[in-house]
Amino acid sequence: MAWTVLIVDDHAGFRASARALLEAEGFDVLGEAADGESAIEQARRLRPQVVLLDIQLPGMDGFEVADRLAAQPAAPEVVLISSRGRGAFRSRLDGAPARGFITKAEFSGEHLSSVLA
Amino acid sequence: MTLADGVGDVAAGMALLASGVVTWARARRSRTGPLLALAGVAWLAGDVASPLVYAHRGPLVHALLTYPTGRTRSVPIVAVIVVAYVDGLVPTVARSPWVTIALMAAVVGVAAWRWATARGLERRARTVPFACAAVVAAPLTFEAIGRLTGSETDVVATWTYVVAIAVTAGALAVDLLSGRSVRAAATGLVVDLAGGQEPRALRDALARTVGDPALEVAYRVNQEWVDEAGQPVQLPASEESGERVVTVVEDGGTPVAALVHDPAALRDKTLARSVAAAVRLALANVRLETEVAARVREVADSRRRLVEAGDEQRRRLREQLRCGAEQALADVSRELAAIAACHESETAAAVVELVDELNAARIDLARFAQGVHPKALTEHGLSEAIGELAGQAAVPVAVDVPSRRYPAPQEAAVFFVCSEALANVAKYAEASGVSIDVAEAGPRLVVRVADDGRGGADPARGSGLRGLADRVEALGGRLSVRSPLGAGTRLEAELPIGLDAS
Repeated sequence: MAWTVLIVDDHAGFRASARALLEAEGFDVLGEAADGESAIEQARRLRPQVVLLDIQLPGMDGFEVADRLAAQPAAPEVVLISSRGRGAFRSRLDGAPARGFITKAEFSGEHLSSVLA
Repeated sequence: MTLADGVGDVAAGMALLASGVVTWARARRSRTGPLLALAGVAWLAGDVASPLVYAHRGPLVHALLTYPTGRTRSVPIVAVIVVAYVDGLVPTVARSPWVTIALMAAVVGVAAWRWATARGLERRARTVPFACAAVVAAPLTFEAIGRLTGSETDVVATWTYVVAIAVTAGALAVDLLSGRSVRAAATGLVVDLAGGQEPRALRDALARTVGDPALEVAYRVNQEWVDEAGQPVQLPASEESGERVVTVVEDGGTPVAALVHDPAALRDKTLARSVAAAVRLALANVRLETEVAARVREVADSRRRLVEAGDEQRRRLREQLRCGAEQALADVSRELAAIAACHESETAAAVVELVDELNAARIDLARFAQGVHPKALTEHGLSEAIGELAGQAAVPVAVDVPSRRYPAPQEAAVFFVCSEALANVAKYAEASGVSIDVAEAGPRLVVRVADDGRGGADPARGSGLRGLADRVEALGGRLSVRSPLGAGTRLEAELPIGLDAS
């Protein structure tokens, strides 16, 4: 059974590429969001199993969105992504209600699967 | 009897005797010679002992109806011969015009029947005795009718009969000794063999020519005798085994074929030589066909190797993209991200934007590499790779694929069949569901992709299905598409896996 995914990133090019790659590797991408507000709204509406969440979003950042999502009933799994490395966020990553973190340079369906496994 | 009558009469008897003796001396296996000689002796004896004047009829009819061997097992023929002997030895019977007419009708009738029911060499051999029977019967019948009607036919009939006897004696002897019918048969054989070079056609042509429908041909292949289908056969143990005889055909001292036949069929040496030559000729053709078949196999092998090499190249290309370009982009992206992290400025924001562009490009490259040759297929096999395909499809796909591994070329072929089929479903079918079934059927792997769309797909249109069919056929399989209008499309491929399944 394929994972259902919501992609949240302010960079449209990345969203499109990530969607195509995930679909090619067997994921079911339910939707995309460009900012925190619409991410929370879409997660409520689409009920994805996984939210692929960029940390550096305009306005509300990825950590805040993760907190809000975690507060929802039947909260989705959150996997944080960023162009920056793990070192850039240090302890904030440890405390975040997220399943894992992947840098965009290493992002792939395979990598996402291993984080979710 | 005038002097002329006497000379003619003796000449006819001598002709029978001479033909008989010469034939007897030269064609020793045939009884035609002794029979003609006996007829000649009886004819001459009739000149001195009048009760024997018809005695030549028995051996003459015997020779005519059993030519060229002088032997028969046929009951009707034996019956006519016996009647002819009785007729010849009992003058009161022979003098009856009705008996003569009936006997001659029977002789000509049987000779015609022998001719009409024979084929090939036999028919050619029976042409001359049939003609001779007619030539002999005509004056006797003419004379008998003359006696019945009271016409004066005696003189004409007698002279005609004398000439007919002489002609018959000469014709039978010349025909038997010249081997004319044998040469005709050999010529016919070459013509027959020119028509078709299949082993079966060769056998049929030989059987027709030598007049032995049960003739069998065995071929020497890899030090053993095989039949037309290549199955080993046992030749009759000895040279002469019951009713069948084995004649081995050699080419340059090496046995190449064997004929199992009736002893009478190849008794004539000329015919035997011609048949052997024809068999050698035909075998050369058969060998050529074998070579062509071997080339066809080579072409098939090379097609398979091309497909395999293509797949291998795709795999290598994918790995090169992953380890080369993709990795390099990832490294640059990480470096730039690290630089941007150290600087909080507009430049840093621009760099982050650039990093995202790079990441998008890297991901596009990864997806392209995946399409070149899916990694899941190489690493996890059909079940997982087709599962991924199904996950990307625009319509629900029910998948039933065994989890075991198959040889890489077969896995790739099945995968690309499914991939192309799903792409076609998305483009044309307007389907609400698709099913993919992969199953083993004996030594073959069968994949069926069926949708419930509008059908009407034309396999001849577009290069996708043609390329798939090429790939499947190169592996010795076949691809079929059924797409009745309004009743969905069903694509089925069968691939042999028995020989080199891993």
